Amino acid sequence: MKNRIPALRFERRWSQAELATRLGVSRQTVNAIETGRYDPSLPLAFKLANVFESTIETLFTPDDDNKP
Amino acid sequence: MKNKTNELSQHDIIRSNHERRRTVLLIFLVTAALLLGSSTHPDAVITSQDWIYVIVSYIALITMVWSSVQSYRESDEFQRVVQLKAAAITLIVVMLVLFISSNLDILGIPTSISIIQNLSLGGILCYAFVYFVLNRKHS
Repeated sequence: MKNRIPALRFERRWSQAELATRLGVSRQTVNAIETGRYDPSLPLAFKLANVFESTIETLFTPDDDNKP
Repeated sequence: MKNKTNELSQHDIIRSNHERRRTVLLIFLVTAALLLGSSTHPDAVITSQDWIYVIVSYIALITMVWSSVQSYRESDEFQRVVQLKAAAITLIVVMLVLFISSNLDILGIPTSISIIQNLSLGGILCYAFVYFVLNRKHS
C-alpha cells in the first residue's frame, strides 16, 4: 500500500514523533506505516485522515497488483 | 464507527517504551541466571541451594510474565503485531528443537533432562532476541 503521509507530514513540518503523539501511537508505528511495512487498521487510518484533514483515499493508494 | 485504536498519551508511550526495554533486559538477565544455575547435574542430591534456585527462578519467571503482559497491554496495534511475530517465530523454533530432541530420544541417542530445561530457556532467549531485532528493525 502506497501512502502520502511523509509528504503531508513534511508540508506541516511535523516530526514522526509529533505525528505519533497526535495519533496516540508510538514513533515506530508511524515509521512502519510511512515506509509501507505496516498497513494501519481502519480506525487508525481514519485518525490519520482526521489529523491531516483529508480522506483515507487521498492518503492511501493500493499497489498496482491490488487494484480492482 | 467505534474507534478501537489503542489511544496512548505521550506519557503512556514513553512508559510503554521503558516497560518494553525493561522486559527485554529482564528476560536476558533471568535467562542468563537460569542457564548458569541449570549447569548442575540433574541426578545430583537436592540441596537447599537447589530450592533457592527453584524459588528464585519461579519468582523471576512470574515477574517476567507479568512484565510481558503489561508491555503487551500498553502497546499500540503495530507493536502488538511485532510481539506476536516474535512469539510465533519462537514457537516454531521451540517446536522444531523439541521434535529433533524427541526423535533423537527414539533413536536411542542419549539426551538428558537438561536438554528440555535448556530448550525452555532457549525459547525465552529466542523470543527476547527476535523481539529485540524486530523492534530495532522498525525503529
